[in-house]
Amino acid sequence: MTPLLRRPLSRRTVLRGLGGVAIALPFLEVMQARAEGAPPKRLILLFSANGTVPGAWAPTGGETDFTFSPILEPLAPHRKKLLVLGNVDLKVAFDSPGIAHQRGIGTLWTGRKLDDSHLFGLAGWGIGPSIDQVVAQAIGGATRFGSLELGVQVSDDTVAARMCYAGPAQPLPPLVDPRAVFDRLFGSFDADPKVAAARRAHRKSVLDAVRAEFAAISKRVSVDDRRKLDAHATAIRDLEQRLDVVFEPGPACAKPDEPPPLPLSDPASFPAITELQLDLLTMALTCDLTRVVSLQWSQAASPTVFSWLGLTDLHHELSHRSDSDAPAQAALIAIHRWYAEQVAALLTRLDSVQEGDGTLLDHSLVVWGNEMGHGNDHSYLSTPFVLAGSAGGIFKTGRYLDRAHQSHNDLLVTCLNAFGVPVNTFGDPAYCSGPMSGLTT
Amino acid sequence: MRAWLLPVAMFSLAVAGGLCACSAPAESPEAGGPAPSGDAGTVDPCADTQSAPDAPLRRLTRDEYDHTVRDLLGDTSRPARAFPPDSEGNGFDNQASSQEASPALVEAYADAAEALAARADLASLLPCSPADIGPEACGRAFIQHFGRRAFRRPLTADEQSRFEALFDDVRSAEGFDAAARTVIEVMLQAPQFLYRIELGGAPAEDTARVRLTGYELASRLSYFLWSSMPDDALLDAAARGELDTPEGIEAQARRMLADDRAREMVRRFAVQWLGLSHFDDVAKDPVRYPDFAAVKPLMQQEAALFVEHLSLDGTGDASRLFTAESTWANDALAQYYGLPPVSGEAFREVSLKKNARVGLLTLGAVLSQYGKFDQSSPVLRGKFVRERLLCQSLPPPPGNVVLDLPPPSTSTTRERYKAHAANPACSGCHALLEPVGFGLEHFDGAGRFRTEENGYRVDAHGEVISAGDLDGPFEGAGELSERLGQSRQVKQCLARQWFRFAVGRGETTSAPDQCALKRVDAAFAASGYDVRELLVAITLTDAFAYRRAIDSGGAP
Repeated sequence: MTPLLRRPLSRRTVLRGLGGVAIALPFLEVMQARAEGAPPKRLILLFSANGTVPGAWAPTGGETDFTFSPILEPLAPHRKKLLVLGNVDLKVAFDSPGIAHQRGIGTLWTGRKLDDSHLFGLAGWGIGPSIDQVVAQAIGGATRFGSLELGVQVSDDTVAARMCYAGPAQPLPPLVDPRAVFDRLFGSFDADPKVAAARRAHRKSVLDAVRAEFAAISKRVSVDDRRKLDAHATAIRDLEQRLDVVFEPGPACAKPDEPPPLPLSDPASFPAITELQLDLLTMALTCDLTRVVSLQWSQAASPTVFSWLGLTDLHHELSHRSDSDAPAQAALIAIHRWYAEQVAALLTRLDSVQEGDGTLLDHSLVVWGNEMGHGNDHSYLSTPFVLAGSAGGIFKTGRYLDRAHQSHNDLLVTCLNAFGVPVNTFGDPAYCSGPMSGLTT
Repeated sequence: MRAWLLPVAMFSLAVAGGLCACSAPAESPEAGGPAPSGDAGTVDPCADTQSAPDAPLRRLTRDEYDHTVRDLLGDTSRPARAFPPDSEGNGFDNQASSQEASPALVEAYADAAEALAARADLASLLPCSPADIGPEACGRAFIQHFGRRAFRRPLTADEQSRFEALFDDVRSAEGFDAAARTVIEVMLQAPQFLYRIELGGAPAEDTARVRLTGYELASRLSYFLWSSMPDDALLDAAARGELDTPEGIEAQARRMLADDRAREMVRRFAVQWLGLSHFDDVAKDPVRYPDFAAVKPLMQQEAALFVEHLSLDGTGDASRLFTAESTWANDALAQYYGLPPVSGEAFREVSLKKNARVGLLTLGAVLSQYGKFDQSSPVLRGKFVRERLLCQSLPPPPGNVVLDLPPPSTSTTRERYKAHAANPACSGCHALLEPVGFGLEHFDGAGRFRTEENGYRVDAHGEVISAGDLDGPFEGAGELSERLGQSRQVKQCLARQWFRFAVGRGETTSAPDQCALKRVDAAFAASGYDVRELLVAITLTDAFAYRRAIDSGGAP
């Protein structure tokens, strides 16, 4: 059930309200309540592919006096707000059907083995939900969008290219075109309030009528088909209710510039698309359009060619070279370091948005994961996880922790708990022993 | 329902001895490989006339949505290009098990319906004039007329009255046009439009199966053969009961195959079957292959046109997909391939006689898709032949895969890949792959012909094992293509790929599917492997016309 939602209030309305134009009292009450309350928490999931170079990833030294590794060194400016986790294993992936990369990405945020339906050779879809969707259910009801799934050059539509799931075999495809994301998020951002209100009213009456058709058809179909239709009808109802959501932008909220058209398939566009998606993601959170976002760089077994780093090999092929191949290892370190730079740039953006007595980053939990730990042996041991932000003071940051091969399902439990989801286990319980110890304050 | 669990072993790699790492290949119960024809089992699957396959709910793909609004509203703006991507299954974008609607898609449907309704040309959609017969009567006629095309069947009485109530509400506040547009906007988001609702008719006594209604079959035909909605002729045939008989279905299928919409459908099949859906995203080393980026879109077009023409024109002989000595190219692509000059940007048939190119194995898109960034790939090419052309499924590579092949500038590809054959952990499976892919070594990673690689003469001899009538050594793309063209297994795999594409799911070992495939294989063979006859044969199977009776699980 979506909680009762508040009435709409556009940014312009807010500003007018503050400027002294008479508006209805409940609106002001809402504004006041929000001003006095703690800023909302946000979850941000990030994915990059093909494992890492373990020796160049893990920090050295102690829990708080650690030294950054070559790969993570770009994150050093955010040291106090980081929680780097060494030796966390995707244990469930070892036992999943599917080929190695499919298993890694499909279990990463779900904690469950892939299904065995053979839609993709040896496996089918992941068995969701993924944690972002569980968190969206818990905290996403009050925003215009329950969650937002973004991607950068995801050149595949199979299980290897989906990490977010609404439920079993319900993958959520990421949006890879920044212009489409811009339209979705900000298309009606500064519409005339009267026009916007009329359009909302029209759409609600249309969606009401659409739901009546779903209700009529749904009861005549088979049980499996009805589940599909009912999920669709629920999404319609959710959309309808979100039309009423109060839009309460913080002071830093502003409509971004429309992204320029880019050759989306050109490998050289990868950095530019990344920058646009990170800008849009940050502004979506700043404007409180959503509280749950994910960004998927490429896909499992990523074939990205990092030409802007002077590299000419596909990332996946590089990841299969032996550990003694020095040029390949140097190239892989450069790739993973580039990703760390992008994560750092995102953290800088989030940390520059003031909210209450902290920043947007302080109120967020960023989790940067991967589909495996090590590429050339497809090992799920020591899969690299970097957390940032404290989700409003919950995580004790500024540390590097060796988790001694604990299962990543435990980490997922801790993440869910941080958003008020009171679970002791998540995903396949055989791979979960409760919250991961030592992460929170 | 009774299920025939036939031994699915005809093309299983497991039966081949001596393949250590490949001794336990995945034999998928669904879409794993061609299941045996009737002669493989002792029970005739066609003896079961009681059961029918499940018919999971299918949603319009992005292409189908665009084609449908084109045919329904005359709108050619392709609004579904802005939708989130369709997820894939069994290699195709139209598989029921991958069609869960995400919230982003549901919102995109709402946006598209609003825009489409706002710009719809009402004059062309109204069967009447409100000025002549009155707004109320014309509204009712419009709902009935447009609704039959949007829902691909006549509205039920309940539906008619719901839409009349909606129409009247909006008309009283905003007028006739707004009311008509609102009806369109709602219908374009209704499940009867977005999904293929197949309830079937009344079940015959003592069977668990029901025949689809004529209208439901009309949609099955049109979304299979046109990737779009039925036209008026097809809906009218359904109304007259003509689709209640195989003869009626056959007549419509033949009519539809002669339509241009079938050509577009075959092109769509071709791109997906050959694994080229994301060919746009294929990157090549700009130093080694400086001309590739410019011809990349042309190669994908070539592949689609090649399969379209060979499937629908001339003899339609499927073996020619592999042995045809012509392709379709324009000036830029012909030049890239080093073919005799063609004038202009338009594609035309180009002879490949006295050329090393032959059939689909040497299409630039196939060679490049299954090549690496800076070199060819006998592994990917071998895998393509096994999975897409033979419907075999391969086990995953072992856990510890360290790929220390020498760089591509030092020797021949064959030399570099020797490491796989030398390593016992790899050699079992790779014996299935490289020896096939080596046969295409006269073509580089971007699809260009070559006789030398790094100063060494190219050696393109290869060998096929564990593949029945394809087994044996061969020399180069020509002999491999010749053998693929003659193979019965390859035809049966093609039939299964088409079946998956047609019914939106993988074939199962159930009697209805096995019976359907047995009959399709027989009809295909009897026609001399004419692809058009294969498509017609699929529409004539019981698996196409029947579904399992719905158990609605005690629905209210």
